[in-house]
Amino acid sequence: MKWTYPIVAFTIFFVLGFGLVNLIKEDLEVAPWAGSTATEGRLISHTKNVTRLVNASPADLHAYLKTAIPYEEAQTTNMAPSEENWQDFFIASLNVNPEARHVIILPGGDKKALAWSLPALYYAYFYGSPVIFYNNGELIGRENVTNAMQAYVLGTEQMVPDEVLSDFGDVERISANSPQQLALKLAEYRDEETEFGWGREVDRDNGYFHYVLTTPEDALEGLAAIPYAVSNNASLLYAEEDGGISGELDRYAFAQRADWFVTPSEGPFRHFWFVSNRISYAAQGRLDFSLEKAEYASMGPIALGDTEALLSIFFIWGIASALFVWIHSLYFLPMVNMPIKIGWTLASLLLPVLGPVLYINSYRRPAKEVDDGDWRWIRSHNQQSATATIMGFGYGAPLMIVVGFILVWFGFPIFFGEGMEGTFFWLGAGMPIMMIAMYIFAVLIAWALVQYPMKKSMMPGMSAKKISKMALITTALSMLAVSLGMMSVSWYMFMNKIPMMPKEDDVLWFASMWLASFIGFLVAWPFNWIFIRKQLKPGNV
Amino acid sequence: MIRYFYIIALGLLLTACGKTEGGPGGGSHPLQQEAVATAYTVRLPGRNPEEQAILLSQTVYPATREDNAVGAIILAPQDERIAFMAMNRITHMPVNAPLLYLSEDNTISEQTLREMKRLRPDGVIQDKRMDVYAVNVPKEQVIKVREILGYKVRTFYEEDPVKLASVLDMWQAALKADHPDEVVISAIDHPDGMKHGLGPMGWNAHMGRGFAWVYRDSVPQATIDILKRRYGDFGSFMYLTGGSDVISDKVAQELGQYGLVRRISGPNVYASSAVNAGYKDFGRNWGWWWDWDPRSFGWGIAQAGHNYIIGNPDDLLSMIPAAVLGHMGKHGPILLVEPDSVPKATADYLKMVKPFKTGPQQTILNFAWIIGDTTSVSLATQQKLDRLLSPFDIPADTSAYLTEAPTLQEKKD
Repeated sequence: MKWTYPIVAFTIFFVLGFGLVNLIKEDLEVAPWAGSTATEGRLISHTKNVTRLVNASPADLHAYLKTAIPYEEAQTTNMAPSEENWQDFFIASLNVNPEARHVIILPGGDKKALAWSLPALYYAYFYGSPVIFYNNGELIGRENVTNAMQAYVLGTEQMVPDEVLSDFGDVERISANSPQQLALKLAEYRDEETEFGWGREVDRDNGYFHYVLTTPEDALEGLAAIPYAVSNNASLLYAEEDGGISGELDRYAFAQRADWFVTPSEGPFRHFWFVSNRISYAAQGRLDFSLEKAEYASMGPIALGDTEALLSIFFIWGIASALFVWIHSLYFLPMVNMPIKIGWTLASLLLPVLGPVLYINSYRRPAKEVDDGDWRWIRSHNQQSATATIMGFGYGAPLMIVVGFILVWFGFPIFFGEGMEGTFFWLGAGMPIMMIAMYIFAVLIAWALVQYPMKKSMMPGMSAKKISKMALITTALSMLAVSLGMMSVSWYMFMNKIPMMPKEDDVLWFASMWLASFIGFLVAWPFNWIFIRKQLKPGNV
Repeated sequence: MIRYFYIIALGLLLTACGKTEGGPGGGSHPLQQEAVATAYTVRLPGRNPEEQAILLSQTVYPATREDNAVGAIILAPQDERIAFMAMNRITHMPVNAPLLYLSEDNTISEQTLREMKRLRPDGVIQDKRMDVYAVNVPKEQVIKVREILGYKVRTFYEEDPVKLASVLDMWQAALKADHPDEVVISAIDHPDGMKHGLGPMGWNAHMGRGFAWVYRDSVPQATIDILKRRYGDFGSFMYLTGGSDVISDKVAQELGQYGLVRRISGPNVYASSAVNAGYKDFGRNWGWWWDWDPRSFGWGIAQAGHNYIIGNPDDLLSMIPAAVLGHMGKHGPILLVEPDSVPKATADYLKMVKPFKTGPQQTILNFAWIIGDTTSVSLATQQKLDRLLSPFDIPADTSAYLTEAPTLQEKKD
């Protein structure tokens, strides 16, 4: 019956491996349904975290926002922005802050210059920064600012050369490889002393941040939407010309996802205003999703929450521990039987660090060959208990996770109705059913395919019936002890600690099960001390 | 063999790497022009309940991937009592479902069927991966959903809404292994019973607590059954939606046998919605030596920086599915207005939570969804709301403070 152990190990490897591949696959996917069904039959283009201002032209958008945002503080000048007048449009719309602590120097001229200048124009409009345009070798508006002010130059040296800045005292250039990158840089940049930059960084957990999104080609639409800089504190960001968003913007947007501690009705809330028609629905879906509030523990799908990160490290250490034990035992412990090696490997998968420590401690000891090819190691009672626990836990606990995963994948059966009501109504609920199923199926599989053949090979003189009964009792009791810790912790994690129960494609589901298994082992260890004492389990193999 | 598995797994992962480029997303959509956006409001301009429900699910669920599609879909007839209850009990996690309506002739329209297809439910893990919850939906329509869309459907059939509340309560308990001790209670036989209950219904769509019906002057047996299932230290915590004119004091006292009774109410439905937005009840619920679980009911919003779902209570069928906006995205309470004005109670509440500048780089912001087309809530009202939600000054408008006494503008005999 030697075939049973690798079959069990393969099943565990296959199901959990499938789960992990599925998890990574879904995290890598961006908008897989955008091209097929997602847009079918849509009546409007707004979504919960993205409002689209669909427009025929910059002039059309300008006219619309004149009435949609009627507040004097945010109003632009009456002339519509165009490629020719965009500098004048901005200067005529700007209310300069008399106490401004900085001046902004920007490239002027053509539409390309507008695309580079626009992110800074948004901040200037919000704050009231004096703006100087560099165009055809001239600094337009230079006469309005003093040399004492900190000057910020946006754009490359080809656009605004260093030599024209020589009479400014303090000059700082902020540049990037593209307008898209420059916009992101400015969204994150902040100098408190000069009060320049939005300072909307990754670690800003508070703050109501809105964003206007356009493309460099549609920068004029972005300029027409500049009232949002005042009314909604909106920074300007750019999508790509093909309608998609860059990896950098994707990263930034996910960093702007706000968490919640008590309920998702807590602030802050963040929002995108799209003003370019060419931005794709896939990009909209992605950005809408990126800003969706999520609970602190996991930060929702794709993003990595603090608790999730911590437990993921635990989980990854488990994989590393299993690899270490498997490879080490293959090369250095030829006298250990394959089922035992598999047991140690699977246990180490769920017992990061502790698994390898116990493994090394178990085999760095004197050993003797009691029969042909049958070795025994001399171990303390505690160490024997640990080994005995590992032999049950190594197969049983991963099997419980496998059963749990299959149930989560296909959904829990539930039972309800008048007949189920009363003190034990909860026995019809999904989570208890999952726990009971995890225990029963794992015990049955581990008993039939692992513990029975293992005991049979160790006690060839005993009758099959007696071995079978003994294996069932020890497996059931040992797994019960594991379950005591494992189920309590998984209930605590899924039903209490984590506000939204993680799904099968959530790393927190796997990581929580890993943590629960670890605690399950710690609970089962002392129980196995008794099994060793009563000689119901071997502890020196 | 293992090599092949690695290759397949790696191939799967490589093909999964996604992209966001695509055709212009700002194309022509039939109702885009009516979906007026101001700085702090966006209108979802449904012209009838069926269309409104579709607009809402399209707004909340872009459905470009599993995580921003639905867990399930609620399908219900255009019956206010059924829809109200479904929103109270089904929408919240772990189900995560918007409400879609049958047509007035109790069939699924092509538009709704297409929306159901677009939503691609993930299935509710805690309930055999159910994709659709059909509440009193004719059997042939359920078959249609199963056969055409291939979705798994759980059906609830109970003509009496009072009993249906009990069925949904038992089903929810099986999902969560718990009967939530907080229970919203609305009057089924009062014409404004559900209008007063719209706000707490929004909280239930947001947080998934219990719901039961009462009559104005009596407590039905099904409701007593629901309340008896609660094991909190005080039994249930009951929140009556409406004053004693809607749910009598006699009923309140009778309910007192089963736990603590509170009212969420104002002198009219608008005031009730404002009270609900600011309402918070918290404190003891249940504890045992090591662990304890407080009760915590209501939005309790009395400061700037929040979102609202604003609409006309007379369009009840359109307002009910709008609670899904409090379940995802902007998460906020329902406030009620008249088509052409912002009633005083609602305006006063919005003035209390008016935003202001909070730092050199930011201003705290409010936001609201406007539910319905301009016959439900006029453009002028949307603009007034925008101003109330804004961090900018409100021009003095003394008319908002006039009582409802007869106007003095014309000479009376």
